[in-house]
Amino acid sequence: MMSAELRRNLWLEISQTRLAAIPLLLALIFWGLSSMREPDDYQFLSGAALVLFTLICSLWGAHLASSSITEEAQAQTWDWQRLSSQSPAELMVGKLFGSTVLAWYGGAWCLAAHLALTVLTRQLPSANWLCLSIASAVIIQAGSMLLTLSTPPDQRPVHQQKRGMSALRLLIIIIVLQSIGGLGSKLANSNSTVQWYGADIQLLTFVAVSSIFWAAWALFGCVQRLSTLLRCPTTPAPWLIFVVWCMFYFAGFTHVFADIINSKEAISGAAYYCITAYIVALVLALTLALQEDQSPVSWRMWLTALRNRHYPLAWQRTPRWIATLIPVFIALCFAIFETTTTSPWLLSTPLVLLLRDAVILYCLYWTPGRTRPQLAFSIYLLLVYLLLPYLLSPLKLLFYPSMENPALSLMGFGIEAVLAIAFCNYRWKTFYAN
Amino acid sequence: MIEVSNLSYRYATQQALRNVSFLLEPATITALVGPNGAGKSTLLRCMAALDNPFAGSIKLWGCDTHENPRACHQLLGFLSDQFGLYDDLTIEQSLGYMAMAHHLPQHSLQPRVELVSRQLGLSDRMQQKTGELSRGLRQRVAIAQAIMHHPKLLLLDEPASGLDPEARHELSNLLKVLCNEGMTIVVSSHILAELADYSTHMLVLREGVVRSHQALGNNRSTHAQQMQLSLSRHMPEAAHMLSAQTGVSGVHIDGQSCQFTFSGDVVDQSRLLAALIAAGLPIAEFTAIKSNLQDLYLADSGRPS
Repeated sequence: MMSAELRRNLWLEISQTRLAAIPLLLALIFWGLSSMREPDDYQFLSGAALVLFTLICSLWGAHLASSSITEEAQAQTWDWQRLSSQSPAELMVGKLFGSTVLAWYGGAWCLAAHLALTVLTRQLPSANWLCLSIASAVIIQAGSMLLTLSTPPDQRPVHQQKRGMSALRLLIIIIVLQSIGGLGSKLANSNSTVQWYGADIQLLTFVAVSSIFWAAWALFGCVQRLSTLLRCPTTPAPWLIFVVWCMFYFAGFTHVFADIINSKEAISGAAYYCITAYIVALVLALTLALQEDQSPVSWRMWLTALRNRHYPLAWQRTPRWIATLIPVFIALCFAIFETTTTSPWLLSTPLVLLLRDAVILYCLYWTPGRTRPQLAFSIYLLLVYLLLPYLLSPLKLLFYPSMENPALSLMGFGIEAVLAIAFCNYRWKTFYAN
Repeated sequence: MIEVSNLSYRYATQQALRNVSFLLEPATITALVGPNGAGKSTLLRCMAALDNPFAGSIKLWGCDTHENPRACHQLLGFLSDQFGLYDDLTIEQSLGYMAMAHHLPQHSLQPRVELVSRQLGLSDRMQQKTGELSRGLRQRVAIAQAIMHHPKLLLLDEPASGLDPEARHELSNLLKVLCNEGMTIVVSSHILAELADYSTHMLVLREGVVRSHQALGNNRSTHAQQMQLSLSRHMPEAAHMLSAQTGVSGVHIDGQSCQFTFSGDVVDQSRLLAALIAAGLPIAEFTAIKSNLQDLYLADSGRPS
């Protein structure tokens, strides 16, 4: 049986007028484009069809996908969705592909035109280009929806409800499109290669295959986020698998990292892989700590499950950023093991800084009467990592790890982290323990 | 059975519920009353497994809303005070969508939509878009959506606000029908006179604390309730005759009027009346004394009625 949400969107989006209007409009655009060039410049028109596909499915599609969530908030219908029996996957399919069905319909016409025009130029259509175009559209649409879902629809401030696409989303879409466009000329060159784990791979093939993986992860991310919002039981395992994937994927580009460090020390290739994976996991943990629900209720639920020794439930309720510390720690151990010359203290410092900052974030969230803890935390980050080190440049070592004496530096940050934990514990006991 | 134990809920700046505990029996209608900011909507949202309480538990027929919210969602229907509808869908599409969203079997979708639309008096408007409906009709569509999967528990937050007297009367009748079908209903409202018409119980919430929870005269179950008997002439032996009947206690006679407590349902009441007539009591009036919800509420708040 078709998903209820998909059916609802099809009822709303599909009409005979629209189905007829879209190809007519596209035909007009192609006619306008062809009149600007030689009538038989099929190669130009074939490229234009692909660009049109990207514009329709990525820009318009992203707007529609995002609106499918904001409209629930605006119409105050989100509770119906939460109380229904629809699974997160059903809801994701219904919202993502249902709300964007017209964009995909227009996109399909563009792809058909692209294929037809490519054949007219006596060339074979490139499967890589097709994969890349479709996967990019899915990534952008799903990413846009995921960003909108980062604030639950019922907690979205009224002034945000009417905006289908925030400035942040638009910025991200432009960056993604620009990077695809920037890659375009390189991708078009069949000799361009990329180095991944030391192997030279044709750039277009690599990007096309990667984009399929990333599209799958974007869809999976939407399902996971909807699971949380619909209160379906989930564990941190899928997130950890994603973290491991990111660590593996980005570690493949470790030569870039090696070039940045430009170290004269004899560090093995394996050490570089481990360090890159470690940094990727750290960044993901910090991102999640910023984005996750840090309310006393969720923390208390986790503690209660732990206290009752209900470990499967405790695992479900474990804050995802804390679970991410597992791969972070494993990567750190491997990095220390593999690196003989770089100080283990220096490698451990970012982890301690992450712990300190996350605990401070909790302190801000657990302040009774708090209004904007995330804003306060952003100001804190700005102060600690930018403003104060700049103003107190002679005392820079108070804010950044020392390369000369990393052990002492780590000890200092460790003390700060312990103090932050003690303060956080005091705040919990004062306001929320009973 | 709905069991709420030591429920506490906190917002960032205030505590909305404090150690709220109560039990609700099946097939009852509970009026959830209290001043603005008493925590009524918060309590209903927690009972609907939409919000997580800070502490305490809610069990709907043994299903914990905290541990298993998705299973609880199948048992309940909830209508918030600020509900919304999909304005571009017709009533038929809205109800059909909700039936599909609750995974009702394909063969029962259309019959269920037809039944519920008939119950709510929407049958003749099925092709009208919900965005074009009046407030009262929108309310009916929303209630229809909430009961589409035939929940065991129906939670309604201020369902009568904005309704005209006729629509309120229809709502009252509908709730009675649903309750008679075995549905347990909790209704929060400020309009006490209207709640008194159909509620079997009253739960008073003030500053996040349960002030009282009592049965009212409308109880259709076998609970004891106050009855009144008016006689056409004074009859001193009436007290003795009444006390001899099954289920009768606490008989009090004042002239030609008798008041007593009776344990039994409407069938038992009918039997009692027949027995008393057969015994030769000159009965002019026989009625259950309905508790005045407003009086009870004001008495509870310490204000004169």
